[in-house]
Amino acid sequence: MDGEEAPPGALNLADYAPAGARTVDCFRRIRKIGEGTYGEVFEAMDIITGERAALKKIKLDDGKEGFPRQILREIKLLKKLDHENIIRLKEIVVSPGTAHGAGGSDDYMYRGDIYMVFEYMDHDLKKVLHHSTPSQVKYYMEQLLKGLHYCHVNNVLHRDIKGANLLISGGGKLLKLADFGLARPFTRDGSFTNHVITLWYRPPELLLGATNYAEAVDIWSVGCIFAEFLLRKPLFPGRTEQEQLSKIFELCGFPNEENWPGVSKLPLYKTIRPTTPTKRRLRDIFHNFDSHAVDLIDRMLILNPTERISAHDALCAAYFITKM
Amino acid sequence: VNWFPTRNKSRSLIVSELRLPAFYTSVHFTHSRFLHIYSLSAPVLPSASHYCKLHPPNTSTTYVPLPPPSSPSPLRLTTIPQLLSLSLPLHQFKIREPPIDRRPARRRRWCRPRPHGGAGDRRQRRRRRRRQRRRVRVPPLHGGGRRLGRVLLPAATGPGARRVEEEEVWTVDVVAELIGGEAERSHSPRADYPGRLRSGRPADLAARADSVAWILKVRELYGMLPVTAYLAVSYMDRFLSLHRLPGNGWAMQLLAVTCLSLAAKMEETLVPSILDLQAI
Repeated sequence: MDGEEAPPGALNLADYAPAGARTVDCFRRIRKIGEGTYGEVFEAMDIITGERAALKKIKLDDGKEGFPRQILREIKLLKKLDHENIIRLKEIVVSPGTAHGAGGSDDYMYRGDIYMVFEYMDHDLKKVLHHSTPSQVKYYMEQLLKGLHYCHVNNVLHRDIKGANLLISGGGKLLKLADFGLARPFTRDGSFTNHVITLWYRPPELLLGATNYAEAVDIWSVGCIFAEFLLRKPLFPGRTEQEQLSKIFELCGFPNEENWPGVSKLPLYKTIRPTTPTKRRLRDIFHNFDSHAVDLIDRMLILNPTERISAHDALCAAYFITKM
Repeated sequence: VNWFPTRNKSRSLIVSELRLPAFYTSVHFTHSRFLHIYSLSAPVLPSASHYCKLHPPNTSTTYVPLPPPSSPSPLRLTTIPQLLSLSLPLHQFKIREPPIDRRPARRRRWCRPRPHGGAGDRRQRRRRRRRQRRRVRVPPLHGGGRRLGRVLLPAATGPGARRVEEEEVWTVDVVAELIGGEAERSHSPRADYPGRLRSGRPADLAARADSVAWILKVRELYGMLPVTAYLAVSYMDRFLSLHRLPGNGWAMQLLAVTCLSLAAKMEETLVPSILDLQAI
């Protein structure tokens, strides 16, 4: 855009800026990988370098409110985070605006598309969740916790940890956290929405309607995934929020002021009734697994979020120190 | 500031009066779309022709041009955005990875932050503060104090506007962080931008000043963070340093709305809708 000034009264018509975002033509599409709330994901190859990448096409909802702010938030966070266990956002590309409104009608406008370019990962954790060897499990859990620890130290909550959002590549050697669409920076006394995290992995404080929560919500999800690794089936496969809660209480005991101070102040506490067994019997279903692993799961799935283990302490747990 | 012609009108009137609804939203949209990318990745630039060819600026629309300023006001370096007049790439600082302390818990007892602010937490905070104090070079603003204290902002430039209002306290850290970001060239306006603005048409300068005033006004109205206003002005400057807008003000108004809406999306938890912004 050097030089040529437009005459007063007209826009500067120079076509492209120096070193602008590349267009999507730099990539050759290979196949469609998936489709999310915010648009489709493609596997593609960089024509120049031959590198593989995943292109996430951002769906622009009819332009009333411009760019979706969830995406904006995701981009902002991803640009800040730089860690080997967190997916890397390489760049953002646009599709060129080819079709101009030839007829000159005012209501026609070609907006082009915007794509986020991620590094390519082979598959997600969901595929291997139910058939992994114990050493692989340890390896994945360590990387997951490292990535999460990094997020938490930088005051970012992921808020949607589940198998489909954990990506694996390098022949099962590398795990990365992805999809920060629900992530947000947190403060100690913030109040957030409690409709986050896939139901199966949602912690009890969210199900009870808490709006002030912290890192512990992610740890609960990690604990659920860890348990799923060992059991080879989901730990709490609830279909409704009510059912989810009762499944949790069945295993972890019923919360009261003794084991979770402040629980009776949560909005939905009044609506739940204790089911028959109120004893914690989480360990019983894991009786034939590695005791260190069960210890760790036990500490991740504590009802009281302030007592739940932190990602840092989890990484220091005996489970990761002992060699398999 | 009589900013938008649609002031005090209902939303349906906005559409019928302009008679060019699609034009309005699409120009806006193009601006915002471009700006999003521009602000987030490398300096992406919009093809201005994109919307120009489609919709040449129509001078006969009902947009009310900005009232001509009596005297071209010089850039007043009193607002935070102008003080730091360039850009704010707050979001591009890389964060260092925290070391994972593998020592057993009893041996790192005093350096680990307790969950509820025990002694370790306090000590760590104190040390962090000390470290920051050492690192920060205090910019010579407001008598060069350690803290900026209260920064005075002009509320608006219109007649009858209050002269100054008090602003949130900005600590040195915040300001240093803002300025530090300007090292990144791709997130700043071009070097010749301030000069060009001053030597250019006085109307440009006035339009910019009005836009800044409008942004500050809206910020106050919605109780947004100061950073939002700063970011909005930064986006605007970055756009203006690469593009020239037509003189009669319509594009500048759209630009201001776009920049503010973007900045709000970046920083705020509650974002006013674009239509609401336009109606102010």
